[in-house]
Amino acid sequence: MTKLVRWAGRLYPSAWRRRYGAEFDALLEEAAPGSGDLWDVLRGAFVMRIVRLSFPTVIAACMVLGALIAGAGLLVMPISYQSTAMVRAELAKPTTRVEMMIALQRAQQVALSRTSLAQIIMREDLYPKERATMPLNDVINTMKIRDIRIRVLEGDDRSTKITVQFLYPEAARAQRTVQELVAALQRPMSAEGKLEVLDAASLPQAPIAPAYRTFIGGGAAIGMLFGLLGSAIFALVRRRKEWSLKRVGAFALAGMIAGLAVAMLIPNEYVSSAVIRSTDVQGAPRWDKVLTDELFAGIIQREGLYQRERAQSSMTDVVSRMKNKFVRVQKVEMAGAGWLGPGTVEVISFRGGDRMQAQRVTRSLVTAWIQSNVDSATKVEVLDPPSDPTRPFSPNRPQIAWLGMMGGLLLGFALVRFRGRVSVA
Amino acid sequence: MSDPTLLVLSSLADGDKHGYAMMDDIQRFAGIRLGPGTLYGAITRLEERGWIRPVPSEDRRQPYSITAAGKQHLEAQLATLDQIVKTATRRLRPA
Repeated sequence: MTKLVRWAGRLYPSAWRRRYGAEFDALLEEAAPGSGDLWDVLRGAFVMRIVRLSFPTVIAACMVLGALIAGAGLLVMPISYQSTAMVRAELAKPTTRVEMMIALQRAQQVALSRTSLAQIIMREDLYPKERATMPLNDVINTMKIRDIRIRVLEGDDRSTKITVQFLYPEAARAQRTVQELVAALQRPMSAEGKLEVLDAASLPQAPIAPAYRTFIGGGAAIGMLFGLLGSAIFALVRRRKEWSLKRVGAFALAGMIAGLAVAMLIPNEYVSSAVIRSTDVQGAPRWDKVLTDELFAGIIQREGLYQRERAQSSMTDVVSRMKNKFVRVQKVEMAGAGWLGPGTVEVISFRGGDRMQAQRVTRSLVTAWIQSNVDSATKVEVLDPPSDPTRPFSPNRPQIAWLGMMGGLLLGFALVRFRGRVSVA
Repeated sequence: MSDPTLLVLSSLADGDKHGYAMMDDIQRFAGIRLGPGTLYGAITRLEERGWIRPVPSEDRRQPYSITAAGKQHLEAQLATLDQIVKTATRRLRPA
């Protein structure tokens, strides 16, 4: 057993062995160690190795660990096949590029509408797992945002080329879905011109490769960040000998738990927004004429909003609060938005505690804006309908937990140091 | 009460000792047998903190002695322990 324990003693870091090796071996010879001592020496060697790691080693180890975790993540990532079709849109009448783009936008809105995508999902039996666990609306949003790509390529005033792409774990379904999407685009376009298929939907032979370099590089960068932070805290604690790593760590953990608890108490808030383009021959659109107190009072009553506030204050105050705090109309200054033609592009949004309610309120505001301009010279177009906010806008729980942890760390340092000073005094 | 650094300081308060002598002494006065890894972990920490120092020796067995800072730390720790013992004893005593 002594030989085995002496061998375990060789596992200590070389710098430590240079300083304590001879006397440690002398102790082992004298103490006649048993099996319990083998474990004790192994544990001691491991702790000493961790404690004595140099700064570059810690950073390198954390980077390698981060890259390995990212690599493992890549292995479990679902594979995807991408089918692509190329089509050419042509308008029957000669027109401007802007009119062409608006026609395409309209066709896209119809093809990617909830009804159209829901029908495609059902016909092709797409996303069975997601549909079993999520509402269909969420599945449609995921499909629209993550898996469908419609790109407008070069063209002129009469015709333009478009690529339609779809990503899916099965090649044949990806191809059929692109065919369905092209057909869905063709229907609205037939009223104004035609959509000709140049390259039919491809049957992908191999899955698309994930961005290995970005993924593994990102993992290594996150690892480096953790290594830097961990080393800095550890170095700080070691330098101040009276500080205890355990105490400071306990404060950090307590801070994180407190942050999470606070974050859980804060109710979710959802933001639904819509993008509107208005062309007013007489000047800028006047939202203040549309967003009247009567309109807000109607929405509040219809949706049953702010019941507690309504019980405590007048409707005028509640309306004023809603108008000033929860509804925003922002003019969009977009570089390269010239193709949209003349007019003002604005985003109108509403922030509320219920996801579907937020969407309904934004829809009511957009409808009010359209109706108020029906008989006027202003031409109104909804570029992006009221969104369905699948994720809450606030609170940002990971951020609050992170801040709580940092606060706990600082408090831990301060209190441990204060206690140290008091005990010395 | 079984903090290895406190046990080593307590052992050295009696005079300079090498590793095995500390191990033996601690087992006698505290009834705790510190393993070689635990003992040398504590010795490393105590030396880094300046609470013990090696005493020049020709022997392979390196003796250590407690420093003034080490004594001060030990006294502070013992005062706390004393307070705990007194309080607990008073509370256990029947009224």
